[in-house]
Amino acid sequence: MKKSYITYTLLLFFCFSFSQTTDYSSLAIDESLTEDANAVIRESRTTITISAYNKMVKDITRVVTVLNSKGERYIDAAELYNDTRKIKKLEVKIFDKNGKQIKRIKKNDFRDVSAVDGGTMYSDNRVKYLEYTAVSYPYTVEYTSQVEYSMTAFITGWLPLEGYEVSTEHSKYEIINTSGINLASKQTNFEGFNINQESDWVFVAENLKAIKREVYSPDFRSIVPYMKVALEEFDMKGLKGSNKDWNDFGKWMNDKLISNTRNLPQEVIDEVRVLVSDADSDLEKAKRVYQYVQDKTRYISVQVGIGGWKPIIAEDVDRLGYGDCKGLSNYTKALLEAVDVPAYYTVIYGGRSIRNMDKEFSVTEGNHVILAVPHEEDYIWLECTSQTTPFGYIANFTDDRDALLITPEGGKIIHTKTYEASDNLKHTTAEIELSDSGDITGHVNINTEGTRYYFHSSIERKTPSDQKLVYKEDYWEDINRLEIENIKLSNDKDEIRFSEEIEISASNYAKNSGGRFLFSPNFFNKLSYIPPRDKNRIYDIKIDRGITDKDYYTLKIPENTTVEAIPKPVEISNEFGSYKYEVAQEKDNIITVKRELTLNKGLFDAASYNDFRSFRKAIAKADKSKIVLKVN
Amino acid sequence: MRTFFTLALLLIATSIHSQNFKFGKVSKQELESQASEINPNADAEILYKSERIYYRFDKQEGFTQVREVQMRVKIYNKEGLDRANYSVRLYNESTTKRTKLFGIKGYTYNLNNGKVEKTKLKNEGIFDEEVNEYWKKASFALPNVKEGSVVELKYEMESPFIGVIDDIYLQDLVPIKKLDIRVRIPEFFNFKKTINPKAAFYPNFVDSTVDRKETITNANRSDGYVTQTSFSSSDFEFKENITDINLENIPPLKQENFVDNLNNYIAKMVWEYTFYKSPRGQITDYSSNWDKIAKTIYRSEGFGGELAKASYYESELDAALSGISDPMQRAATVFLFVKSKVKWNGYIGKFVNDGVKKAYKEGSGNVAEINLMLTSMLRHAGLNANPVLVSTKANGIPITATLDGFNYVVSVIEIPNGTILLDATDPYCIPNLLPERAMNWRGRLIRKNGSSTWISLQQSSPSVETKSINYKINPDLSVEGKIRDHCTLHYAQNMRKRELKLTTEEKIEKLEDRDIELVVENLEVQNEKEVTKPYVKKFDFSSEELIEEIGDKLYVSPLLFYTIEETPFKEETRDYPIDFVHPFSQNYMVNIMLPEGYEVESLPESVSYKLSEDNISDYKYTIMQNGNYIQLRIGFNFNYSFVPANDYTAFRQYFNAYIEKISEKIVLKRI
Repeated sequence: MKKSYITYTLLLFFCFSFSQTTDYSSLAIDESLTEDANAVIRESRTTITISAYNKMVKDITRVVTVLNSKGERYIDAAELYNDTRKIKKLEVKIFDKNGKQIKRIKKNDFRDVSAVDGGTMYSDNRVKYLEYTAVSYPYTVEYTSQVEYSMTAFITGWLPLEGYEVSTEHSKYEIINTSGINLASKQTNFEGFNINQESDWVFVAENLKAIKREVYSPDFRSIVPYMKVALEEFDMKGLKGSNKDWNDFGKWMNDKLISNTRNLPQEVIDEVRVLVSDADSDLEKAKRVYQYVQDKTRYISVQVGIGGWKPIIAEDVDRLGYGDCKGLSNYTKALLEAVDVPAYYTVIYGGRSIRNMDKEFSVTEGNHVILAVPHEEDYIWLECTSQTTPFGYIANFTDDRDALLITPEGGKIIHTKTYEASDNLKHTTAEIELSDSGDITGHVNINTEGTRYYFHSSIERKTPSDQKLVYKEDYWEDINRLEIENIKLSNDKDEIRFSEEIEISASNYAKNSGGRFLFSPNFFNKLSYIPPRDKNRIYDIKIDRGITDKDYYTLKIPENTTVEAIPKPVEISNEFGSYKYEVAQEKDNIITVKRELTLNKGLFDAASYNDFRSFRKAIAKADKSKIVLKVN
Repeated sequence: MRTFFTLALLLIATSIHSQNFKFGKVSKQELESQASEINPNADAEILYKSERIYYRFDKQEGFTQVREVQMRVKIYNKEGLDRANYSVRLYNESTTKRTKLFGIKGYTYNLNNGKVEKTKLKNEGIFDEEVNEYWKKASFALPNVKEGSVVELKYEMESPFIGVIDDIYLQDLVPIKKLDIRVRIPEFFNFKKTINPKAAFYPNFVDSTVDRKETITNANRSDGYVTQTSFSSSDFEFKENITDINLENIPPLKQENFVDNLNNYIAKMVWEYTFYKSPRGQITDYSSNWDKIAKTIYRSEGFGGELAKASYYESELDAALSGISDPMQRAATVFLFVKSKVKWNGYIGKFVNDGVKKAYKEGSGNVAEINLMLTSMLRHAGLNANPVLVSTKANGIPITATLDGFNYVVSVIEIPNGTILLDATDPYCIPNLLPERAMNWRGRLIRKNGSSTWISLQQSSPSVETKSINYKINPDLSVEGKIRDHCTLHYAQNMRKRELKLTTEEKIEKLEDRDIELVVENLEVQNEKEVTKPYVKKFDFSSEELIEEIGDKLYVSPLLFYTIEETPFKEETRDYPIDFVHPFSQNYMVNIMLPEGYEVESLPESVSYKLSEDNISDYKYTIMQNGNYIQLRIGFNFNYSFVPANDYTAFRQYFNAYIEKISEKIVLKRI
């Protein structure tokens, strides 16, 4: 009793002395913190008090100096609220650059709107946020909030460096856990940063300099200090959860969130059984069921109550014909079970950039759900929210990352399908004829697979006039007078290959300069991007996905021309990939163009950045090199 | 052959008429159809839409306006599935005065083994959301929808705002097969209706009248434009004016690039409340022209009232103005004073929100607060300044005189030789240069006595960009030189918007970010923050990759990395004008020093072109050699803000030719 009293007074004293010494003047900031920064986190104090598995309070004090308009996003004066999180305190004070208070905004003066994003039809979340117009820069915002949670499934972790181009003067993170429940944490990248652990659950970081963004950089969280926290027993919207490890967490999800959600009406079960009655394998059964779901449902996101984590029951999805990723995946699983094909509900981070579920630390995370169907020692992954994606195709959104499989025995971390450079093929062939006035006409054929299929097949769903615009604006915008005729598309969803056959023409493609035609014989595939120069590359180069290009063109040139100059052959091969380009005169009036490119995926050493850049430069240069024809 | 054709047409026509559009009577044929007859590529189609707008009478409440909407939509493919999600926004002025939604009914129809199967929209598919304090939103997700489905939806909105009839849209982004509109208005409420003249078609409509009788027992009477109208007699007889619009096979609205506001081109009928005539014949005028609209706005507390206030700034402004006597200098001082004192909070409006005083004190305000404050201060400084009402690009071009036709305000000073438009909401704006959002249509200038007149908001003088490029080609084919990029008006404004927040290194990175290796040094920006002056950027550059050596010849693109290779105008035809926002002029002045050991083999030809005799656009390309120097001058002028859709094909050809001209190469050969 006595001891706690002392702690309490100490705490009070500490707070008191702190507020006395804080200088809100923007002029007081050390120069090392303003370098490359748009904002400086002067002070960030997060105190999380957990008194029971379903009772948590989060106190935040943030003092942020905004140096310019790009730094405004780091004010972060906003709180979400709903049935399980109540805002108790919310206040902002604004100080000018001399540290003089110029404005105070109380809880009721915050903007209050429904928190529905573009992809969601309805959600019961609302948000209160600060709306403030900067009068001049720099200025400082002091934000204090207190939020009471009954849900403890998500405990805000600690990210003392909050993003690119923002520095941190002082950041403190503290957890007071009186619940008696075990609390686990995982710290990443603490070494090399000025971080002090003052006691078991008190961490302080000081003077962390701003980081500049680099192209092809690894995930931000993998290069800065980061701490995740999870309770062994937690509350999720009234449900008591358990999380000793992934196995335990997965078991809980299985038993409490997704079991008893997959009853289907008997006639639906009968219908799918008939549908697969002559299927000769589980794979074929799964294919038919997937097609059935794609034809019957659409994606609508409605997030109410525990709906954020528990799927709506399969019967409802069947009746309504819509659901979100959880509902649609769970429904597909129910249908597969009805025909005796096992499938696992899988929690994952969906997104173009790759983000893993943490193999080493179990915590409520992920933002998407897919299905895993076991097949020959491996899995086939099903994206259930799309009505058009081929069976088993997950490129560009959930590929090549760790995901959490929920099985009746428990959770398991499994890596999803990786699309290798050789899988991601774009194969272009063309027969082109050049007229004596410099116009080209011809026939182009493109086949795409792997990650490339995704980008090319979307053209199929456009109107014919918009399809023409895709060729003119997206594929070959550099061909000035391009005209497109006779588009023939074919989508092989079994082989996952998309084919395009187009007739093209472009008047004045070859420019006549002083009696010579000058043009690039690489008509349809120029890789022109060169990464910026960077003398002090700090972080490794991360390439998420590789690609392969194969191009073969033949060009017929007019009788009255002779080849005066032809691009020299180029061949390069290194850790980043390989490139081969060859233009040759086959017969008098036939030129052939051969191009092969592979760009590898991988994590490459920062020191090799210049080599990487040179490689891309060499490709860009060869790709646009020109041929000269003398007009006789 | 000819007869066959007529017959086929007739068949299509009858097939439309034989259809049953009663709610719930979806035919098998509609479910079976594979593609729209109007536009075979449509993802979805509105098979039928009806709107019934009328006035409900209640003994206690008086009249309220009712809008009954019913529609039937065919989903042709998966891209069309979005059409099965629908939402309605409801205005919520207060708990007692708000638009209410009733009678939501929805069904989805599918063909199942040749039989029509019907699924009902239940409460679980209806979502009410409080978007913010003034708006509610109801969303519907129709159940069991797939390719080929037909969905039906009906609902009713009841509004106490009897003088407001929302625009009736007669077109959509998908085709409409049949549209059936009936508006029935008691003779007391008089509206003027207008069809959008810029739409692709002009719909027919039919007007008629009908008798209506209501029974009343209450003897209370309150006359006027209020919802509380009751009468002593028990029979209440009056006429109603009816407008019917029945249309078939309406083509979809096309989406295009570079359009000012697509809504300016959609077919719609707009209703303007003109007067109220009481049962006893008394007329209350509810405005019908822009002059009255301007007066109404001017007399509002949130406009004219705010304009009249001055005490809050007087002493500070007087101090800033002391010693300055030249009127134009005084105006400039006021303009700068407002810009430095009050920042725009991003809200648009013709009326103030928190008021000028608070905006002044807090240092931030909406458009009206800032520009009314500006007008008031200019007057205080002795200038003949007035507010100008504006409709922003996003608000479109109003078809009729309505209060909503204006949503923005700027300020104007009248001087003997013209006018000076001012907008202090944008830090980069200068006198007579409005932000792009305000450069729409025309503005309504309101004088102190409340009289008003139109004023042009279009930029008349062109925004000019001149690039001076001086370089030499070294014997090793590297290039080094100097560039001076000089921008005025909108070009300068855009540059400042993009570049003021960048550091010098970031600016250099941007300049170097090209498909070739380029080194930029000694970057210097002149007049960076002096917004009234041109924005001038000067830098040195060098590169080893600008000259193409092929065989024994050198090929030089005289504009180097500024060569434009491709036209932005890829569409073959257009339905709507291209919006360039302002007239412009693009110039290049290039001086090239040739490398030793080379001579000119060929130079591009000097040319000049005009787009038409009306002086819409012209360009001039002059190149000459002088010893081992080549001098090139290019000037491209576009003298209007728009390219009309009719002129698009000619413009595209002309512009393509220009782009090709400036990408022509100089050929050098070894001596």
